[in-house]
Amino acid sequence: MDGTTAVARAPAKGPAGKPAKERAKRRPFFRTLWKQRFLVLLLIPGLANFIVWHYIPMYGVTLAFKDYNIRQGIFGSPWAADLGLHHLVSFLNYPYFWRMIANTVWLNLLLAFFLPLPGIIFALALNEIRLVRFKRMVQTVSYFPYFLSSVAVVGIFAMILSPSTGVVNSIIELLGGEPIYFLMKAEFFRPLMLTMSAWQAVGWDTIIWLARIATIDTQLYESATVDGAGRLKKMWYITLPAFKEWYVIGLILSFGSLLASSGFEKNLLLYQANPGIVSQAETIGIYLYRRGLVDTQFSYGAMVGFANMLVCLVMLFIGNLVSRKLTDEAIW
Amino acid sequence: MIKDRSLSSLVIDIFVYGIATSVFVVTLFPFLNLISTSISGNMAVLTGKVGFLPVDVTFEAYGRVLSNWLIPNAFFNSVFYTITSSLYSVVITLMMAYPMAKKDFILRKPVWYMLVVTMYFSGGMIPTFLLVSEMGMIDSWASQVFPLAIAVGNLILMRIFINNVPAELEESAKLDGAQEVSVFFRIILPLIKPGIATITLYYALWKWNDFFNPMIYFSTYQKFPLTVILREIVLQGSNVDKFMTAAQMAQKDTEVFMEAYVTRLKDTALIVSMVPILLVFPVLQRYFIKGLNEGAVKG
Repeated sequence: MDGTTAVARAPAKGPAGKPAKERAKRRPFFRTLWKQRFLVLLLIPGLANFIVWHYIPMYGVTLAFKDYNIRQGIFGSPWAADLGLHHLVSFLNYPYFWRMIANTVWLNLLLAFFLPLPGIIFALALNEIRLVRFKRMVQTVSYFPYFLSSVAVVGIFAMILSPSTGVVNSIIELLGGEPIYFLMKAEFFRPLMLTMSAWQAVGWDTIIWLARIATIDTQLYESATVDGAGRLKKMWYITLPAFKEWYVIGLILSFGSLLASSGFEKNLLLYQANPGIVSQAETIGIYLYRRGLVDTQFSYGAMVGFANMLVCLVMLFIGNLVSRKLTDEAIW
Repeated sequence: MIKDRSLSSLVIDIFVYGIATSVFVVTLFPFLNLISTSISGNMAVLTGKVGFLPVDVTFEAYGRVLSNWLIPNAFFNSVFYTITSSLYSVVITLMMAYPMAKKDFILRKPVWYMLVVTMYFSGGMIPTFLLVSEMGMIDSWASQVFPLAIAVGNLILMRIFINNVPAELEESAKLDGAQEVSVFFRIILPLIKPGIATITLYYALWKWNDFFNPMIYFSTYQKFPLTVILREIVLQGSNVDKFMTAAQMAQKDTEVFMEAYVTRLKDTALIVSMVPILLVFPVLQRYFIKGLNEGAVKG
């Protein structure tokens, strides 16, 4: 008791330099915190969610350098052999390592570059349509696939592409061709991914592109008309260039989302339905799922996931850098 | 705008209407074909006569699919997971978005950095799975509700909706002596109802359509949501048998039309699973567009 009061009193007695200043700095923080206690209270559940479900798994990345076992758990498992790099070494020695990396990069480059194009063309077309009712009907119908699950989308394509009872193969046979096993052939995997994703996104994407058109200064169109530009010229020289910025930013962002892209579920569904297409369908995400969860090699899977995240970050940086040099568009 | 009647304009119109019409047809055709196939006769399906319209109409497949417990049960599971998880997500997102929307909130910056970090770095699939498993949530509805309950994008959108409330309203309420708590409940909450509805639908659609998470966390058949069951039926080809009668099962390998019949059952399952989305589609698209405009214009 005595001691504490003495300590508490001491600064007041001494030269009124440091302690007083420190107090002046510190007290307002806690005072404001106390004043804003209602806000802090509101923040707590969300903050706890982020700490538990984002930051603990982030620490769990260390499992990539450990040998996970259920009894010791995420925090207690021992370090792996070879200075903890055991799983990295065996991952790099996976015979199809480069095939898998190439599959991942190819699929994502294709999706990143080509997926926005149908939406852009459709939006340009919609923008020129003057029959409001027709436009609205087409637009509304085209939104619908966006709201379906990837299971439903892959299911629909599996049914219409079925070699025995699918309508597409009926048409091919009607034209004198042989039925094609679309889902079972590796070479159809990427075109199929692109087609399914485009079918699902084409309508919905127009909202973004039409919103972009709405921000274009109408004076540009008026002065172009005065200068004698036709509809095609206005589309080509005014509307289309306005899309560049958003297209490039979308490109950069999708570079960085190799695994998180919505394509992952479709990729997985196609692979699960026909594992024979592995030579093109095995991307990092699929391999991670197969080894980590199906074969329950958790530490090895954590290593693959860690590598995947690094690849994403590097791609994001490269994409951003290249884009800044070439087009002046960048997200940082 | 002056009406352009030149030839080139006509050509453009042909292209433009052509593109729009083909998108319309390409979007609708798979659905029409699926519906037609599901209600056509086996013979017509096998010989490839079904295009836009059904041939030899029969609703037998619908009777078989709906009288089995498989899809109705999965449907109620999906409803349950969707409602519980979106409710939980919306409540904590809203609670978190409010302090984050306050410019003078003292923890705003550090928390914001903490959120941004999670957009670029993540533990990934395996550590998250192990955490869920160590928490004892495997094969439990909790695995659908608690992990990763907040999407940062939705949080930012919620914050935008809150910031749209004019600051004067809050100030004048405070001048009248209102506490922070009552400002939140009596002024902010009623004014951001459309925003809450938008975010709720975002979460609900996400959870309803989620396939990967339920697939890895559930092991008991009776707990599978619609997406997982649908994959089993349509893509893995398992469980289609459950829709057949004993007599149909007996001739499964000999009956020539069985392939067509299985196709019809799969199509029926697909159509049935899409009906709920179709019913809420008008509401969904309206609120989704609202969220998109809000996020794109101000975000």
